[in-house]
Amino acid sequence: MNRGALVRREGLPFGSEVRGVDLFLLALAMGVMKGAVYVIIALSMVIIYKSSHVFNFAVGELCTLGGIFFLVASSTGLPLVMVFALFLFLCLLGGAAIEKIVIQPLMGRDPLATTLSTIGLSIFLVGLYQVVLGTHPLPVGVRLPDLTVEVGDFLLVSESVWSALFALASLGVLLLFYRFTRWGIVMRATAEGQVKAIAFGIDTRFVLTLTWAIAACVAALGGLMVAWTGSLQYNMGYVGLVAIPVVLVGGLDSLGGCIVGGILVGIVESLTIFHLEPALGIEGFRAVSPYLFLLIVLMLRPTGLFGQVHIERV
Amino acid sequence: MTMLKVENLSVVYYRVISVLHGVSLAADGHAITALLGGNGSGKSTLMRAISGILPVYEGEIQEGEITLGDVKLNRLGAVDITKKMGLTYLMEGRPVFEYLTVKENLLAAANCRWDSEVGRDFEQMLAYFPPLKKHLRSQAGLLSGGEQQMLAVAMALMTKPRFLLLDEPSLGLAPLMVKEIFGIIKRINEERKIGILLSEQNAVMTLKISSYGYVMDNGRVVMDGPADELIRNADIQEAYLGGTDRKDKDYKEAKRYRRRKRWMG
Repeated sequence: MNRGALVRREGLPFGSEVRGVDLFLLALAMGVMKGAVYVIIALSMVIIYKSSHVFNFAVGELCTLGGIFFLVASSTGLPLVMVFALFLFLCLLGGAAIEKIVIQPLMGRDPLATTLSTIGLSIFLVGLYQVVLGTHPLPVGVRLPDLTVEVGDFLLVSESVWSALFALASLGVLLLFYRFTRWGIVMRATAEGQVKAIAFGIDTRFVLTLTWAIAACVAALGGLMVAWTGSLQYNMGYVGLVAIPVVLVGGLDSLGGCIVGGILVGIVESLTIFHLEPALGIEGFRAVSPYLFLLIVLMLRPTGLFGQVHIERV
Repeated sequence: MTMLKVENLSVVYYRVISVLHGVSLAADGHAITALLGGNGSGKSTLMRAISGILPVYEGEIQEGEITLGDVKLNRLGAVDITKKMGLTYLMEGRPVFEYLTVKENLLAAANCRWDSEVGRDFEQMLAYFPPLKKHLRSQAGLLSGGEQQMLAVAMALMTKPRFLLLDEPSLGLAPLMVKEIFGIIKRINEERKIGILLSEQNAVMTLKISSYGYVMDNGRVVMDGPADELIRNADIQEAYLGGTDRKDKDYKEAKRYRRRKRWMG
């Protein structure tokens, strides 16, 4: 939980004396900030789903990988910009390597087979991280400029503002990439039909490797945010689970849907914490609320809010 | 001159289902060669084998050899065959990317050869196929069947092929559209000097624009010859043109049966 993302200026204990409309606004703002991280993680999932119809259950572990790579990159003592460049480069390599080893051998099979293998990948990676990191949480410091913003009575903490900025930036870059670049177009083409793509000489193997490399980068950014506001731990990949309702609410193949889905889920979660839990008297209902929300959305719109409806000519 | 040669080709699917039994053919690198045959005669399988896309369908070349010019295609992957050998296979059923716009479709197809002439070829495609120009920004899935087929042919050309395999390009199109598509194919062959292997059910029109033809049945080539000879052939006429002018129907039935027997050989 992103505690202290918002604090009253007087420095009262979080949420203790805030009431009524104030509390509602606080919960809302907090949800949006929390949602920003979900947006990033969900984007990673959607990228992979778009080009291969594979649902990546290992997305949370890609997040953890990001945290680890950032530690590695920052241990070099380079300036911050270089650290970020090295971090993204390592993530590209990591994503490509995972794709080559785990995903490539299953290419051309049913996407379900690959989807299942991502569950195996996730279990394996958690084990691997435990060996590498140990079980103690590690602090990850990111020396980004302080962007703390005061809004009325509240403070938006720097980490949250950066999360939101990163989320927006990744979405923007991805949208432009898919829309206007040569490889972005080719990735969308491959998503529609691998066989067709191969017949037109598109190297679908490379496309898939590229997809995973980019997805790993995006997830790593999300992981970095999670590790920054909390700490880096071998099993922090469980945040990836929250990405599942986010992508399903937004629509599996919609980048823009991620933003809406992520923010909605963030808001639902924090409203649950501040309003529903006290009202119901149940601690921990927050863990269920995203899925309950997902259930309601899917009942009303089975393709998610922005999912692609199939083109059919009449 | 580049020739596409297939020698004694045998193909199986799933390791057991034998589909082609020793097919041989040769297609001129500058002409249109017709490949006729009914449903399930093995035309598509032959094209998949040539283009290297067979493994996607769990198929495998058991024996035989495929050569383009003097390069053996058997061992090459599908992407290399398109990219390096310049042989493009246009699958049957309008293989366009439906959610991409027309422009994006053309660019995606050009990806394998991305050189300085992509822009020029792009303009040329719009000149070849005027209807595409109107719909550059609309999704390909929303075009009419004929427009989609035009787009598919244009996409195949964007890969800058030396040789084209066209699999039933007129399938499911209105008669007027069929005529237009055939006109386009002939024009491509003449203007761009691209060799074409054209698989079709529409025998007369195909033979009219081809120089040589092969007839397949049951995974074998059962007949071949110059197009103008085939078009006069009684067997072809019976099989594809809805019968000959003979009045005595019973006799015809008997005769067709005998002819089919002879093909099966």
